[in-house]
Amino acid sequence: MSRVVFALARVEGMRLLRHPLTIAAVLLMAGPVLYGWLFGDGLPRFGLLHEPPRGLQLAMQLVLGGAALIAANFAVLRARRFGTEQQFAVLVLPERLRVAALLLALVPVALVGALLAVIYVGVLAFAPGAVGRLDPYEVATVPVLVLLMGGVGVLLGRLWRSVVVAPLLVVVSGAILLVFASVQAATDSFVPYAMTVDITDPMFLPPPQALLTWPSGLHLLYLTGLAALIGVAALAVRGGRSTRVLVAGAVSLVLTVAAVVVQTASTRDGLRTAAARQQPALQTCRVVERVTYCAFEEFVPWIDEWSAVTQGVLREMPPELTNRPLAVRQRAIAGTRGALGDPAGVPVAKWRADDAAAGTPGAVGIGTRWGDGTETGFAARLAYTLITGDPAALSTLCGGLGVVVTWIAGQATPLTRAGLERIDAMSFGGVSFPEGEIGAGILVPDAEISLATALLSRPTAEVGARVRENWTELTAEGTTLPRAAELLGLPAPKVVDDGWSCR
Amino acid sequence: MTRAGRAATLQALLRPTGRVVGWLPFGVGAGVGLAMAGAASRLFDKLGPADAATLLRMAAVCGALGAAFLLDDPAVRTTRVVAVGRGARLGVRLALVVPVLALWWGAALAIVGSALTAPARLPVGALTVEAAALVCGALAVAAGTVRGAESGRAGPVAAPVVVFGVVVAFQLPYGWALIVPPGDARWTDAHQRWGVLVGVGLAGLWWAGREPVRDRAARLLRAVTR
Repeated sequence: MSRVVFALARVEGMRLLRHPLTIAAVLLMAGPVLYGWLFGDGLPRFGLLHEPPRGLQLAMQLVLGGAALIAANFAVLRARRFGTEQQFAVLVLPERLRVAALLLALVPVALVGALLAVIYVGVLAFAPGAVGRLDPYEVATVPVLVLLMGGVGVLLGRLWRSVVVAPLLVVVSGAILLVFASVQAATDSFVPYAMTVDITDPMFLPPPQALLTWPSGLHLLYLTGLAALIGVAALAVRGGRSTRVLVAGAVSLVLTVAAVVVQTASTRDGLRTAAARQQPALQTCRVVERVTYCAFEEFVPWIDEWSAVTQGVLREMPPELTNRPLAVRQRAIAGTRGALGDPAGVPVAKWRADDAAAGTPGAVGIGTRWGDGTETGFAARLAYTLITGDPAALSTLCGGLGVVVTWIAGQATPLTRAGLERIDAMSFGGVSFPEGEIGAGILVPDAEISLATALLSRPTAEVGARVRENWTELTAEGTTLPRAAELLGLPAPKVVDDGWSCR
Repeated sequence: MTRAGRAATLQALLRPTGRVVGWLPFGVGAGVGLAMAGAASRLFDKLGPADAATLLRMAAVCGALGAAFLLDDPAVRTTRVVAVGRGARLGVRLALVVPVLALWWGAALAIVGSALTAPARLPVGALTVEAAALVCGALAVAAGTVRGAESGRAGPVAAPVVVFGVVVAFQLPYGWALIVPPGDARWTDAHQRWGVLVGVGLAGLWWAGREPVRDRAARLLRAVTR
């Protein structure tokens, strides 16, 4: 009998692989990366190997998993849709085993998911600038998620005869992961761990490895248990309740519940400890050309990148500003699970206190990302801190100061120039250079940005000389935009009052 | 057929058409969407326009998934030979369906709108355009499927297409974005794109309602020999 089941599984597996939705899902998953590689910015550089699989997992669950769910559901209901149920009743293979074959047929689709995940992570790992250590559990989660979703499709088909249920559930699961998750706020509850993927991280500065709290191994166990439970349920509903199936169901139920309980208990303390940790204690400091850089262990290779930008900023500064001791310290947000989208979750005060305690007061913050516009933000905040002596509080930079800070940031390196263009294209009203992706940071309105962009298109030496000549007036508090333009010898840009502009 | 006779035929078609329309899947989809938006809107401490728009979009997608089943016609093989044209039959169906869709969307707007924190206002018109584009798209694909297929089950084709379309909409590059929060600089452009999609959906419905080209000769012959 098992040979018959495998034969059917092979046929159904092929059909699932060939299903238009599966093919579309694979294209949707691979498309953006391929497009970026061929026509865009090349391979994704400066990847975080310990972090990326999360976003990948979410996309995989909803896109490839969603395709598997709908395709598997339609496969269960195929006989019903075409009115051939009676014919099936005369076959040697009982319905229970046909369902088992369909569950087995999900394996090839899951393997496709695994392959995509391995390729994606491999590309990230081999692209320049990748840091961190890959967590194999996080990669292994991808195929389990696809299996889980496909299993849900089979179960739904066994429970309800309507084909509207499956597409609806894909949308609902997307809504739960993308919307409900941002609403649920209980840090200590089991809810984040009962979700399929870690939904709380992506908006913040991703934590470094030393501050990671997500229990990836236990969570994989939980997902495996859940997938098994769903598979057993698909077999057991409508009379497939043999002793073996029931025992398997009981075992997977215990496994699933235990995994959630242990995850919640073990991570609750981990989160608290991570939030309270003195981040400087976890960092390695290096002095490059009289500037101190402190980075979390795995980010030390990035110090050369940071140094290049720092030198690019210092180059255009008047010498009296660059003689002071300067420190750059990496920031991370840990232990704020559940405080998603809340600027109060950015622990600026704690960072400042940590800086002072670690002997680098007033250090300029740098995040855990690089190469996506954050380098320009760092350059701007560095310039602002050097000019004002203030470690980048929350403020809008008007007139001359905004222009000078943006120009210095933009000219520092080709990377910061490209980064400025990128974040300018993706923002409206003004460009913000935040310290923690949201929350603290500086904002430069569009009019100031456009003058700075005009400056950037002119020779750096010429503009630099002019800026240094008029330094005091340009960087003074009340210097207006028209006055700054006059000093720099450019026409004043038109100010559109969009609520972001200065007065 | 005279104009009066035609009107009478269409009127006579209303009741039986109302019986064969796939109301249950639509009810399930619309109901799930409304319940989800309603429940989620009460979870927020302060519901702003951005979150409200997200909730309404969720409701719209669920409703569009249900709408994908509204044109299911299990008897499509038998109606190929009837005297009332495909366009007229589709029109009767739409006449029945559109008020229900309007009611559903009005309910969604009311449910989420009532949870909105005081000074904020919903961009009702723009969100309605989005919902209309989703529903028109779903109906157009469904109508196109019924037109071409031997079996009249359009939902199993149209609903996955809606899901696929929504996933694509989420992945569009920055400058082509369709799903943008209220207040975003791309809001107006995005809604022009949504408007175009409404137009594409309506054009699709119009095309699906036309009789196959080969029948035009037969109609001409009928007109001449009358």
